[in-house]
Amino acid sequence: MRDIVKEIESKFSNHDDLFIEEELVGKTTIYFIGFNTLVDLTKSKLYVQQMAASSSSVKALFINLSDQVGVDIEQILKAILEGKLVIVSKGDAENAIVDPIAQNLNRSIEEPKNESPIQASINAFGDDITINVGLIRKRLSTERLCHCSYQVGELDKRRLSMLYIKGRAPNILIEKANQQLKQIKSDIETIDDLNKQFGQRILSPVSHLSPTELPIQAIHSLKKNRIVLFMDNYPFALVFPNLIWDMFSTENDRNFPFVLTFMLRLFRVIGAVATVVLPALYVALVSVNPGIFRTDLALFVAKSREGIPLSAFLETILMVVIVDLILEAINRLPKSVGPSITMVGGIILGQAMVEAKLVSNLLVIVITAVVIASSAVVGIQNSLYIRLLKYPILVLASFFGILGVWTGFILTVIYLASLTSDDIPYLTFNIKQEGDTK
Amino acid sequence: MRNNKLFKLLIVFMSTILLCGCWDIKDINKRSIPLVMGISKEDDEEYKLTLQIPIPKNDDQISRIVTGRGETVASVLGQIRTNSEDAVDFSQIRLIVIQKNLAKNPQELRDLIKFLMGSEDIPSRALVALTDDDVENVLSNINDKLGVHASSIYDYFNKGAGWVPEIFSITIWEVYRSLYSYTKDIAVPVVRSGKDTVLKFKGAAILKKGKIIETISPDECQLVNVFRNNNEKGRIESLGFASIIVTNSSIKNKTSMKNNKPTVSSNLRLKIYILERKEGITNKRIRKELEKLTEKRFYRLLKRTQGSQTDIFGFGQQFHQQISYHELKDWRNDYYPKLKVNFQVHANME
Amino acid sequence: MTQRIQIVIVFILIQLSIGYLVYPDLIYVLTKTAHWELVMCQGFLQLILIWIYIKGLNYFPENDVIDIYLKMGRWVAIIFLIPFVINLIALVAFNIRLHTEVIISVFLPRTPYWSILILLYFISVYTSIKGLGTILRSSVFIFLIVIPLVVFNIFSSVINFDIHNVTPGWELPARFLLKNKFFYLLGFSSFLFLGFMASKTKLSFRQLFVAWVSVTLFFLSVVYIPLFIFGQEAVVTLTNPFLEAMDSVDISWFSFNRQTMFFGLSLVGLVIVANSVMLWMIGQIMRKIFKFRKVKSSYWIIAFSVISFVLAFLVPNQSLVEKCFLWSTGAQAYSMIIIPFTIFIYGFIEKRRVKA
Repeated sequence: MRDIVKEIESKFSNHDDLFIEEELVGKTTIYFIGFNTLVDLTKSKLYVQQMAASSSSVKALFINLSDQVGVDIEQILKAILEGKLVIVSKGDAENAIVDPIAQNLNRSIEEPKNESPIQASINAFGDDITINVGLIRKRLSTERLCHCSYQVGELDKRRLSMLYIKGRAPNILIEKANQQLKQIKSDIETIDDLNKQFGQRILSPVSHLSPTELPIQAIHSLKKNRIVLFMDNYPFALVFPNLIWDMFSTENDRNFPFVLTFMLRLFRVIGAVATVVLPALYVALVSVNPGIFRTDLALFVAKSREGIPLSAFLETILMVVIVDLILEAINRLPKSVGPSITMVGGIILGQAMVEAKLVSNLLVIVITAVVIASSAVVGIQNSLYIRLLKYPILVLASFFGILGVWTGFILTVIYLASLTSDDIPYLTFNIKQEGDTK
Repeated sequence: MRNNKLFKLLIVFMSTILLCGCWDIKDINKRSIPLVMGISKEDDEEYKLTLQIPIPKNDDQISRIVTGRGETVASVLGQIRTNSEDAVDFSQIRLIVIQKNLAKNPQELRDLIKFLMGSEDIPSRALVALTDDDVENVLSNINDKLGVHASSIYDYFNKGAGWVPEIFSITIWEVYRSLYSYTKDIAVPVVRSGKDTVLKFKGAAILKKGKIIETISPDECQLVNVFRNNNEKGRIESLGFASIIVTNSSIKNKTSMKNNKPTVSSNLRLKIYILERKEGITNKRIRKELEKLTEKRFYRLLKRTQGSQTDIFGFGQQFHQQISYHELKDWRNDYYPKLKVNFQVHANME
Repeated sequence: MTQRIQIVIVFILIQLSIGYLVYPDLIYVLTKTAHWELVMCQGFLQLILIWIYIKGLNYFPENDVIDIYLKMGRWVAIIFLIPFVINLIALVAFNIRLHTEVIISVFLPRTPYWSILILLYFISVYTSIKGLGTILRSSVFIFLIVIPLVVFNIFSSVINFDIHNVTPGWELPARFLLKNKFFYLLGFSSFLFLGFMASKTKLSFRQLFVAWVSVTLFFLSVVYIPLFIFGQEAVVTLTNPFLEAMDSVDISWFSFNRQTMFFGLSLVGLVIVANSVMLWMIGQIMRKIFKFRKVKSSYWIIAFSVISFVLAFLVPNQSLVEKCFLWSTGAQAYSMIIIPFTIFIYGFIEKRRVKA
């Protein structure tokens, strides 16, 4: 039976970072077992020795150190993989799983990288799930904040946490989400893997989850009767369900007077609508329905398009694709190279295209406006899907003109209206407070 | 699996949508956009259509005149469409000049207006003007003077209250309405090609169901305008010994029916400002003189129109509530000649 | 709560959609004077029917019209509802076709009508397949976009008004009640869908009354705007008086010079909502009556929309479309009278029996 140590050794024979250290406490020899990549051995040893000094026997020491004493081999193996320190006394009399002093693998709490709050607390979520939940607990000290945690996955057991406020979030929603999270069989690697668990949406650009980096935003969502999910090693809170209003509002807007908040949100709505509609409107007005321009405007537009060989649809789709390419290229590049590419791509290319009379200068103005407008919405995932939505409308507009723009817009609205996550429609503005308070 | 099928169906549907519809695509620079249209009749047989089309080129903007002849207006339009190198888009026409000789035949004019109203291309908001001149002259004059800025011809007729109260604009739909109206006739502005300016305003022609009854002078036009509830503000009147400008005006009408005899009493209040006067002329005299002049002008015009049974002032409109609908039909013949108007002008110094 | 407001919004949208085009024409043909009395008359008749309908529906909480008819017996349901379905198919067909003609004349004069038919059918069918929730939610958004356009249209046309164009206000010829065109007019007030949506939410008459008032105001403005602009004499000669009235408006400070465009846009939004509701009703009726077949309602919707598309496609010209549309609204007027009364009477009897 003394073979636990042997067994562990053989099991992890391919793991060179496994350590098995012998140590004498009192008269008994004990073994420290763990991964030195995950456990800070020297400090942990020191800690155990200090504890040993104040304990009467080895057994008492083990009880002092941990409440997981005398567990079976399976759990020990799992604990080692999770980065725990396992202490086994010689002759296998006792064993214990101890929370060690871990190697510091996480960055400290930092500023948000993907969002830029103005006049607001700039703490952002980090990689560690406990720190993330802690960030929320610290800001929301109520006993009604509930926390369910899960370990899911096939190969790798990933830790998930679900937070909600009891009495606020609808019970049905909590139950459904709980069910769906428990049922997860496959590995959760990305948000989309998790997203699929809440019901497949074929080719939908709209996710069930809305990620946020800011604790304030997550707490606000909790208070607005929603559920917040955390994934281990993922520095975002995932708000479930994702609603359309997330695109236009952040909690930090409210640090300004109401009128300014209103203005900010209005601009975001205008930005989103403009991104979707403007390129299509350009094509529709220029090539299908110029009749609705006033005469002076019509002549002006006709003049600006004089001598351009491409048709309005072609030039627009060309420019829109190029601009989306530039936006993507900037993301891929190191920060030092990015601005120069923007310069070359945006300014020189645009200028050259106008001067070569490949596209009309009016279109360049439209496209620039669209690029700026598409960035006004909150969250990069929303900005991306808004950018995607403009293509179908553009195609419809090139066939049916203004009618195409309008039907395309209505179709988009209908599509968004048809989306639901766990029976909560995407186009609701607030979720009813339906839970019982007990 | 089922979802997948639905999805395929969706794609098929989408592609059928995209397969249809390529009929109205024509880039704006590939369209000719005529701004002014002239319609006349040659030798009482063929319609002649003249279009003024600006050609936007980058540096020097030019425009040109296109003409076509044919049996009907529609056929000429089609013919111009075929012969033009670009697609002709009539949706921007702002002014339609009709030669007076065409208006001689009321039936033809009526048909023409109906055609213009019913046509989907030509906007019914386009202004209408008559001319004694050759239509081609008027248009080439517009072309010479304005060129691509021919859209500003619209401003010629709409200078706005307070600038030139004599000129007024009539649109196609207003002419169309007057073809059917029981109680109101319409005055269409008459223009000529000017020497230095683009157009010369020559008064208005009174149209009764598509028939030109008579022509009235700009002074009388302005009086008609007052009754159409336009302001008389800005009008300059020369009385011989003084000249004044009207700074404000308002008109009130009261209607009554006695023994089937309609009566209107109208009060025109003018606020005037004296621009210049000969020495020794009192304010009172100027006022009296102005009142007399305006009243005289009005009664003369009323008498003339009552003789020809054309209700240019639209008095009949105000009897809509007093005369039953089927009797209104006979307004022009039965009631209007019997109409009594007490027209009083009150001028006040500012 | 939200759902009730959504239903009211759908009610308003459907009324506007059906009332925009042919309604003024009918009014002008029916009477030369006192148009408002006719509008009010039709409105009050509609209000009474709605009241009876809701009274009847409230006898059966948690049930919609189909459930109630199924309670009476399956054959009763088939006898009463199948003609209604056929009527709805015709109504969808001619409604879309009628709107297509106007849309073509506003936006795309050279495009053949079938392409626009396909587009409109596609959107309506898609919406109705997605179900009631989608219809209700999207109609709120369409409402928020379309109503400002409608209001803008109405108010911008004020500049062309001539108040004196209105004909005498009090001499309504009483014979209009006997003309069958008045019957058509009654068909314009489509409120039957209320009974199909009411299974979960109990409808309150008060909210519907507010909706009714706004719809009546809208009808009055639709009738009176062309009258104010053209006068009764000219209005009867026009094919689409409201369209021409919009076309006459010219706002010089605005950078687009076609008011008809806004009119056309609001028309498209309205027709999509109206038709998707009608198609959804067809799907519901067929699914509930022929339950045993295990056919999903979306298949019913697709099948019937194909039939109605063929119907809309085959009508050769606009005047025939208008006639067919009037016939189908007239036929709808029958169901509008029969369905509320049968439900009311059945509910009344049922209540008595339960008490006894």
